Amino acid sequence: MVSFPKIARALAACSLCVVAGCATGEDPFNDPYESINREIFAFNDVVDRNVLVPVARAYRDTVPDPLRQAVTNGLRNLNTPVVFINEVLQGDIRGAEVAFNRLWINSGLGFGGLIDIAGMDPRLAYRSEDFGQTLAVWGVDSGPYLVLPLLGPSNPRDLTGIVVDQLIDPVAWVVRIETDWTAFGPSRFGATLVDRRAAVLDVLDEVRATSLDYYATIRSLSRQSREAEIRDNAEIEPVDIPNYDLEETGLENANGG
Amino acid sequence: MVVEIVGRCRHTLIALIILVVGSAGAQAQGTAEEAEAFLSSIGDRAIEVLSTPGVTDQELRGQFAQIFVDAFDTQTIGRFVLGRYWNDATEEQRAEYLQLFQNLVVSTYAQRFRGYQGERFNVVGSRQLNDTDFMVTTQIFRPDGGPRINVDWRIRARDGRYAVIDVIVERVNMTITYRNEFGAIIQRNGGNIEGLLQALRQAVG
Repeated sequence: MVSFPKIARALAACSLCVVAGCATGEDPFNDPYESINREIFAFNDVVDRNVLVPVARAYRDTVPDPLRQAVTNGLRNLNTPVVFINEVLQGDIRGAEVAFNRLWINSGLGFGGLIDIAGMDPRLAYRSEDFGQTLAVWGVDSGPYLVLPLLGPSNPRDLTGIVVDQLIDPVAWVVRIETDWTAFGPSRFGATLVDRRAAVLDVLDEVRATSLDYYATIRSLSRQSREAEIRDNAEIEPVDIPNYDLEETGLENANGG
Repeated sequence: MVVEIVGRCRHTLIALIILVVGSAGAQAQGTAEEAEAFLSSIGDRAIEVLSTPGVTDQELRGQFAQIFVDAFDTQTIGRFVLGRYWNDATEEQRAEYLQLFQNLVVSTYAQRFRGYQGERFNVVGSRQLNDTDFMVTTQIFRPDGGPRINVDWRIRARDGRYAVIDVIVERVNMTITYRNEFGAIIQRNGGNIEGLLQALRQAVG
């Protein structure tokens, strides 16, 4: 019997090939469009520094911690139906159960999701799932590295995931059908953007200040953390660091002892 | 029933053989407990430096550099980070690269810890990876009750001494990140390590 994931995998692989142009070759960074990517990255960086960072910083500095936590919780709660659907599509029944329990506990007892009551039990901790991760679990290749305007590091698989998540999101459908609240989508997107950016203000400042090639560092970091998300809590294989024959180096403490 | 018992016995037998052969063949160095103790002592040293009242940036940098030199195996990390380009490099280039790489890591960590606000770290476990390597898992707690940060330290035992050879923060790997970044810089300079050295000199030379 041909299973549903198999068909989906084949279909997704086909459509991704069209999107990606099936780029292959001797590229260790899987980044055949690097020159365009770098330009978009530079553009994003200008927008980031001049618009997003000031807004995120003002948000972090003026809104008290508990309130910002409530915003994070609320946005996550709105996203939980999508997480649930993707857990099911990934065949992760335990994960689906967690998402389902989080949804009713936090929506019901946590003031519409503003308080993460469920998360007080570590077994019901929040976990991010999306259709990009589902495609990865189904065995779809990521395709080449892409930097999307304003959205940042991605690839054809994750881009497909973003589109599909928008289409299947029950919350968006309910709002669309039951209300004429047209600002809901954009407001939610804007809030998510500021919420996520505010969470990594210091980290990204530091990466920007200390990296020799900001683009290459972000490419590596985003790939690694995406890979970790896809693998959920599974242990990541340790890197193969050889036992070199060490030589006398005469390394100095150049900063004084 | 009989088949089942035989089957079960066979598994036990195989496990026994693996255990005996494995322990005889491996020349395990060090223990996970020692690796944990090593890391704790390094952490205590770092926190002591950070908690010193009125410590200047300059002093902090110097003290951190010393802790780094003592605790990290710069040569192993640096060679792994450079990958295949290590073999192309001359003796002088290798020596300069290792020195600059060490400076870079020290200044990065000094900057990272400058915003220290009384964080504490706890060793929460460890596991043995192979004959020489251990992964010690720690959690960093922030005094304001912010989210805990998971940091794994890969520690290698060699001739009775321990040294950190990798740091994994929230499952993002320090060595891989440097390896990718340096590889990209060298590649953009036509595969020449001189381009990387130049960038390093500019940053921390």
